[in-house]
Amino acid sequence: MIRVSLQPVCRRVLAALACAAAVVHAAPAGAQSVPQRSQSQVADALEGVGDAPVRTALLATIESAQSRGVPVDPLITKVREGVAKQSDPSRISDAVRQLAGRLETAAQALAPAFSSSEISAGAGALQHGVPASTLRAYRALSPSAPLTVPLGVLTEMIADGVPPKLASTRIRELVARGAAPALLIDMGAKIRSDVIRGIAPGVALELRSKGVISLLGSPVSPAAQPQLRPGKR
Amino acid sequence: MALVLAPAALRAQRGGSPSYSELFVDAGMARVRQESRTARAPDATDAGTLGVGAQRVGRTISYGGELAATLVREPEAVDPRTGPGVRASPSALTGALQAAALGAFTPAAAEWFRTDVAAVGTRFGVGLGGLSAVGGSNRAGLWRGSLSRGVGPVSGGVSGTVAASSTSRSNPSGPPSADLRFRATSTEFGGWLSHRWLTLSIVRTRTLTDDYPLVEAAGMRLIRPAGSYDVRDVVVTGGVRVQRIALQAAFSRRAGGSATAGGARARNVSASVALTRSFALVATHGDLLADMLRGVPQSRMSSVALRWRVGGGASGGMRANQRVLSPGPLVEGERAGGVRAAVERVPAGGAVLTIEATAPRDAVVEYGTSQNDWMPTRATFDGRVHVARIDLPSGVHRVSVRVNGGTWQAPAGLVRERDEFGGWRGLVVVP
Repeated sequence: MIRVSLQPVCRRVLAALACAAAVVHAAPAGAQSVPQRSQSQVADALEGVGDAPVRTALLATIESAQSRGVPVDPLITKVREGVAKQSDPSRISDAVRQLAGRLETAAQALAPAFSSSEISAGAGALQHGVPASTLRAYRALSPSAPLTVPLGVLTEMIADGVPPKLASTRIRELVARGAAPALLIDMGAKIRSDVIRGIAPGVALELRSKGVISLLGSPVSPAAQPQLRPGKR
Repeated sequence: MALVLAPAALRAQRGGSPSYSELFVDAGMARVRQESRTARAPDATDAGTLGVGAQRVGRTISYGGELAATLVREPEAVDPRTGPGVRASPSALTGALQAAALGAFTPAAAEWFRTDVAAVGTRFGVGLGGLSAVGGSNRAGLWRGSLSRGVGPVSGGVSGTVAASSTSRSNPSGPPSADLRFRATSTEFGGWLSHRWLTLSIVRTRTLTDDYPLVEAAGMRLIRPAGSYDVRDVVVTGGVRVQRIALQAAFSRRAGGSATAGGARARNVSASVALTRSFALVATHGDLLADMLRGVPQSRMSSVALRWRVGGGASGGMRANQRVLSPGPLVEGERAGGVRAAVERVPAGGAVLTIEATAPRDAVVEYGTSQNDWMPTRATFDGRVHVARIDLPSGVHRVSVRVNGGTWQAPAGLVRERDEFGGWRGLVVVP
């Protein structure tokens, strides 16, 4: 087995993070500056992975993601989640690698993304089967407002059993009409209650979304939306 | 024959509950009083009981097995006019051996549904020390489907069971014609409701059997020619579970249907106390109606047993004594009553996530969230439940909770999703 001591690995992490600012600037235009971890946090996260070759692979994944403009925070969080859940190191590596791929896809589809949390929300939706084209459509409808909450509610609905295509369509309609984040979250909670009471998830969505749509106006054209600047949430 | 205990083989774990494996040993004593009408007089029998079992409880598949032995000294003979009865004939030291296997399946995509299959084989009248008695065997199997749902601290469900058994009895000292085989089929339907520490259930069972020694010993009879006895039971059970103590009371009402006349009522109570994480004391007292499926006669029983367990999940030694085969308490849903969460928005922005876990005072309840970088953080015990209050900023967050180092689970009340590491986590979206 190849033995790699921790110290060189950490040094490589620190070196990788040293260029984080440059990487952020290379991210999609308009992306918010992604808060980076302290060096010790990253080192700690990787130190929790017991297998040295896996640590090396994780570092390579993180470096590669950084070089492509993918936010590092969600990847480090995923490492910590795997460590906390006492997962097999190879499983942690797989999860981080897959997440990096989803984050990159989401970052491209949501460009210009507002924050790493928006990109994370997009990656979460992708994990539940939402296609990247849906994220692009959402961004086109809402170029000046963050999509973190709509994507989170979309993910919740799909996890609750609503067919992904139906959920995507209804959320898109609501985003187009400028539904406020709190309204979307309330709708999601009501759908969840309906599902618990035995109503089919798709039917619950249809019923609840109609109720919300009735409260909203006509679809808002992207040009008519207030021009919030990324990072001014 | 006094087969008195078939201790727990498996306990349900609904979605989100920890997976675990455990080995358990039950050892105890029981005093059984059989009110048999075929006997000269009721007698009290002391029995020693020993059960050894193992079980694996998983998210989707659970399985377990148990070997149980009962050692009985039978002081009196039954009335020889009844032929092979349901009790041992000569005064002898006899025993019963029982093997049970139980499996349960809960689809990952539909955790509100659970199906159980069980098979139990019993050999009774096992002579010891060269002595022999009325012997026989029983084989029984069941299939059960149950639906459950939980909303906040309330959970409930319904269950349907189909079971069949075959019982054979023989008297080694009698003629070959004394060997008889009886059959029984049973259908059961019931429901349960649980709120925090309280559980109520009601079960209706209909059993068709031709086991005339057993049924008539229980005071029931046919009033016109019929192919089988029709025995109908309603069992209402209430239970409370507070800290280390679990109490349960059951009331059973039996009546004959169709051509069957007669009936009976029974009340029994049971209690279990978790002495430590590994040891629990279980005591029961009350009437047991004749069990047509397992060929067990009606009796009044008092028993006490000590359970020792190795391994296991967060529920500690609080596992109640359950019989493998019906009639008996329905399997209760646990997800909603275990760990739950509620989100409260803060006007200034963000939200407060409150997690509550019902677990013994000395349990270690930990949570991790994407917000705190999955740093396992211990919840505090407020005298009633373990509580954690977490400030969450706007965004999408994930949260998992574990009890006593078990599997990470999603609290009830949140949308659940599988994590990449074999557990579950809850989703929280904060505006």
